[in-house]
Amino acid sequence: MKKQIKLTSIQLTFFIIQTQIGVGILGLPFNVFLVSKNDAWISVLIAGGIVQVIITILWLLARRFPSKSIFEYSKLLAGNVIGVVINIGYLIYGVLVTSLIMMFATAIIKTWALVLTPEWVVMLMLLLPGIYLGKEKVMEISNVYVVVSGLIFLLIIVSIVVLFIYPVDWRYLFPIGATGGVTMLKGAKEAYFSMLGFELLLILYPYFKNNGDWAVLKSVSSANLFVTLVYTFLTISSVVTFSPEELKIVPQPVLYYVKSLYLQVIERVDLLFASLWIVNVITSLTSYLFLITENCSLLFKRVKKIKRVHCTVFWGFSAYIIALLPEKPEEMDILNTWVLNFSYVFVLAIPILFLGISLIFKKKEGESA
Amino acid sequence: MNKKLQVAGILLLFHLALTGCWDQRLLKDSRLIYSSSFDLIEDDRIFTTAITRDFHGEMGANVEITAEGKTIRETRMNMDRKINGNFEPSKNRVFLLGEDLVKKDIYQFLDVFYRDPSSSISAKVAVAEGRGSDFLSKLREKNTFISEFLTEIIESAEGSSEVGVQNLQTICTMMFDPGKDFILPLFSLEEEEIELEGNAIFHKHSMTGKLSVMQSTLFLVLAGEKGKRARFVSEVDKENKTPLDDYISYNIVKPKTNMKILSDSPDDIKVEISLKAGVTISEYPADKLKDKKNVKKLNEKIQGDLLKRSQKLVETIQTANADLFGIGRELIAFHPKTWEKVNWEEDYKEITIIPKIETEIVGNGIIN
Amino acid sequence: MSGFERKNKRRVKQLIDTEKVYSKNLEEKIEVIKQGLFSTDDFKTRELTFNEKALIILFVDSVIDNKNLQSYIIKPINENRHGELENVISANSIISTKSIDEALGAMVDGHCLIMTEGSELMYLVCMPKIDETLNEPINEKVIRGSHQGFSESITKNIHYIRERISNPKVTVKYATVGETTKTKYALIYISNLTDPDLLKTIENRISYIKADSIQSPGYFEEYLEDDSFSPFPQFLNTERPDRVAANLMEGRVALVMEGSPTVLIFPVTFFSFLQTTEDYNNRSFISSFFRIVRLFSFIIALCLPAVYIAVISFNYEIIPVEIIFSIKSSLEYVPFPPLIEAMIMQLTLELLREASIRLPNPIAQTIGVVGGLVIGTAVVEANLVSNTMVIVVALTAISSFVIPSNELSTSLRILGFPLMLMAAFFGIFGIVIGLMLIFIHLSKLKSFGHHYLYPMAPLDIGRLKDILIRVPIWTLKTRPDDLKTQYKWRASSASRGWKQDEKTD
Repeated sequence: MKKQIKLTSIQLTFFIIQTQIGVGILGLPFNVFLVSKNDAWISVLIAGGIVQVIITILWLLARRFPSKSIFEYSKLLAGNVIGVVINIGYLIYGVLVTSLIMMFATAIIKTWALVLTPEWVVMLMLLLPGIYLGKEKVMEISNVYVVVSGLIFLLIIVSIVVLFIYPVDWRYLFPIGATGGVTMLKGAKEAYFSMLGFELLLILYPYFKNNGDWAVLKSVSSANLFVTLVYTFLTISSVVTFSPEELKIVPQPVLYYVKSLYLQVIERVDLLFASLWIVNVITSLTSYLFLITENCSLLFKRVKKIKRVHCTVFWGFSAYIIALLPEKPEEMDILNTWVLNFSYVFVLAIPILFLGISLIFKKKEGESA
Repeated sequence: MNKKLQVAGILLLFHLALTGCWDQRLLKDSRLIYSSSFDLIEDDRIFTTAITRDFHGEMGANVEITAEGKTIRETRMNMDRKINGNFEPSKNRVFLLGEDLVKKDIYQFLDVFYRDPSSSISAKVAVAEGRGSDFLSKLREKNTFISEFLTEIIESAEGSSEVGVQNLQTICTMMFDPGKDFILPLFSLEEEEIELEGNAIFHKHSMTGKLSVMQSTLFLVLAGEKGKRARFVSEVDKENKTPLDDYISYNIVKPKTNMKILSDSPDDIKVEISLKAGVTISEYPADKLKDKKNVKKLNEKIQGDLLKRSQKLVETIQTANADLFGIGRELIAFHPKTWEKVNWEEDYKEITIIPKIETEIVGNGIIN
Repeated sequence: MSGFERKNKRRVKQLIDTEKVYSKNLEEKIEVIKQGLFSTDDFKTRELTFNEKALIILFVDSVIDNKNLQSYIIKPINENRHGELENVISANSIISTKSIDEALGAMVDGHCLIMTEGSELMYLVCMPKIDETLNEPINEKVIRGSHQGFSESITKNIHYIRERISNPKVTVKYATVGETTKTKYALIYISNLTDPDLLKTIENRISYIKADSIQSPGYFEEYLEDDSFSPFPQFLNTERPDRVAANLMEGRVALVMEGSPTVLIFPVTFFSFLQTTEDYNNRSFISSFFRIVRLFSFIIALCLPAVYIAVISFNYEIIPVEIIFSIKSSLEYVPFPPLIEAMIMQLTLELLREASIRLPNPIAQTIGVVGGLVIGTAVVEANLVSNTMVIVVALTAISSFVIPSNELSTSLRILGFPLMLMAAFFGIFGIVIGLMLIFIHLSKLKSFGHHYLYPMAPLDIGRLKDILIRVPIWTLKTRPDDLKTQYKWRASSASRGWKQDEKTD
């Protein structure tokens, strides 16, 4: 009876944008700069290009099973048992990414604003809106995303204002390309982590298939393009505002250069900036909670008693507990490397494998289902 | 199940309410510091003077707090013990640094401001000739709004290109840049009045020289950092009856500056700094501006005078070993090979900087 | 002129073919007219005999003056029974017609229709209900526009609506609800506009109401609304017939109830609560400005106290140095933390508001003066609350009163409390989390299956021009998508075609 207004490509674009832009945005220029110096922005562009290739692969795979998410066709392609194992793998990946987002965000919030507030409270505050939205359907989530995306533009506008007010030095960008290709690629690896989020295409595809498969590719690609450009812009503005040696000791350059802005009405723009950034963190969190929920509700489809909400809440709090475990930054780094490696497996290796299987054995939706 | 959850929720809320507000810092309980100065005293100890405000009825009155310590953080802790409420330096708009201190490494002292998330890094920094605390004490006696007084004096000087537009953060960028140095406003205390003396030249992290006000303006124009106005006075004649007629005051408009590296061989670096600017005459009692020939002559004189001063300026800057024009940065960006070969610390003094000035009289006010 | 013809070209298609009904007999004709009025429940017939033939008077109950009908039509016919109809009836004008279309149009405009057996001619007698009572609703006053308010009687209220949309397609469905109270209510909608699925949903929901007593529209609201625990109203309450008419024309449904001047309108979006009918009476620039002001006031009413608390107890770095001293000086002798301070003031304000509603008008004004001025200054002088807090709370209250809907403005002020708590715990961070939760809630919320935050979520940029601002009416050529009306047309693009005609050289 209740008809839904059709999901549009714009909603898909913003869904991906909001998932991609998250914790990374504040630290990305710093992390990439540590590796590829004043060519950091080229690294970001390269990372964007690599992500675009991966997106195309994911799209080729998803398009062969237009009405199914990866959790459904994994069983078709890899057999029931391995399929379930892979799905559980995705579940673990989702939980780990969720806890990583919470950890990083909490660490930044704790250093910048709420120094004394205990970690578990800050994390809970992040998790609650995430769960509240993550348990919903695609429609509701993307509606929220589209509107809060306005905040990204606000962030960009503030950055532009900084570029005008602050005595920037464009010469910090030069000499271009001196760091060499290998270093730039290594930098791209750093940027890649902040660009994760496009893998949601694997589960979102069936929801947006009405728009046509090319439209899906187009909207995901434009999301990636947008994110790449925003990151490049922020990287460039960080590089030109800070001198190279200084940038090495500023882990959140975007926040830091906003901090030096002095407006008549609001004296400390960085506090507002950080608060708006939290919204982007929450949306990334929500996306991964949504991934978990979709996955989990399929895994436990047979068990009638388990509803979507239970999945979100259970795994959300599992991620919460995992996020509370590490106490030192080194332990966080360990989890970070884990997640990175996981992401190579689940975002790259498995989809390519699946695509191969699907192409070789000519498995497509409709034939084997 | 549901009831238990509710109870748990309520307990959680109570827990929050009772232990909450971890980070709360009430405005009412804090002692806001409006301006502070740092001096170096015996045994490399730091002497901090901070100005806060107290209530005398409706009006506020300045109160001075002082403390000594090995680091700025320690002096803060010592000051905190002397006042009621929390010592709160986040509204500090001006930092005065004593002369002895700036001759050492200022970054070491300022580090605490860059590290603390609540500190205001858009605050102004100035150097005090002598002891900074004397300045604040003097101002406090007059019971002016010290912080406002100092920021306004700096801001108006920025407008007339007497000091560069800098704050705590922008100087940090340059302290970390091997190819660029900076200047900070320098104040002196003369007959109980605070006066802008010029600018302190900084090389790396410490003060190495001084620029007079006139030199500062010229430097800012040459570096392309002119504020709203840049006024100069030149002597153009000598034989007039009244000495006033000998001088011309003018304002530089639409300056176009350019830095060109003429030669980038590591042994013989030649840099040309050129300025092309319009001049509007703001004071010239001799009133001989109708005659085109005369105007041309005046222009040449102005040009020559500026050039002479520029050469003097370059000399001063090179003596201070401060790369104020950012020539090093230019080399890093566009001549990286040369940069690798030079030892900037030593070689900078040796390079040739050639100022080139071209002016044109474009305006003369509302009378000729 | 051609322009005029052009204008009328895009008329809504008639649903029934009225041309081929002459040959039908009386029963069939009545059926046709009933269909023409979409079987509305206020359509009544009265059978008489005249000249030994059956004579039927058809009328729409809600727009006809029943007393006049009895004494000037029914009574003379009953007494005479023979002769020419025109001579028997005492009425100032009797129009005879053959067209059912014309008859339908006239019937909803206060005419009753007289048909006799065997005659193609039908007589229309003007017998409109005249209602002189004018009671402007005190909670929805306007400067420019209709000053008519609903009364307590259901037929009168339907009459007001029919007066404004004088079209046979306005359909009224009567029913009763409540086992004991048997409260009469009517659903009003425009038959060929409102989404039939929506009507089905509404009827379905109403059919589930099994209650002993339903006394006011508020009961209805709670039985029908999608989310009873939401702080946001999901039905529009109004006492203004023009507002109801405007909403009906958007494809919404109105519920009128016996004994209540409040009419419920649904489904509604959040932005309906920020609009007034006056917006369309003012020039578009002015109303655009006021719409922005209202949106702004919404934000202030929700966040200002919270932001103030966050700023003075967490992040006073934000306050410019020029005013921080004066704020600090006003806080100096206040013993409470800002949260308690704000709570005291807000609660005092709510007390005053509640008290002034209960009291008769002149005394209420006194309370306003005593409360606002005396308590305000005394509380500051006693150092219980700071000066700035009084300003903040006053601003909040004023902003909340700017919002046209009383329910929304109250729930806003109440929503301010949890936000204040969040602000007191976590500063600006807490406010952002709180606002995020509220926003997520709003975009999840539905009113009868329609997105509450449309056209913001789902985003429909084309519609925002009638929400955030108000563009000139003629630029709104179609209706919004969310209500899925049967036709979208609102105005032709040639509505200002005269510009072409008047072009000189």
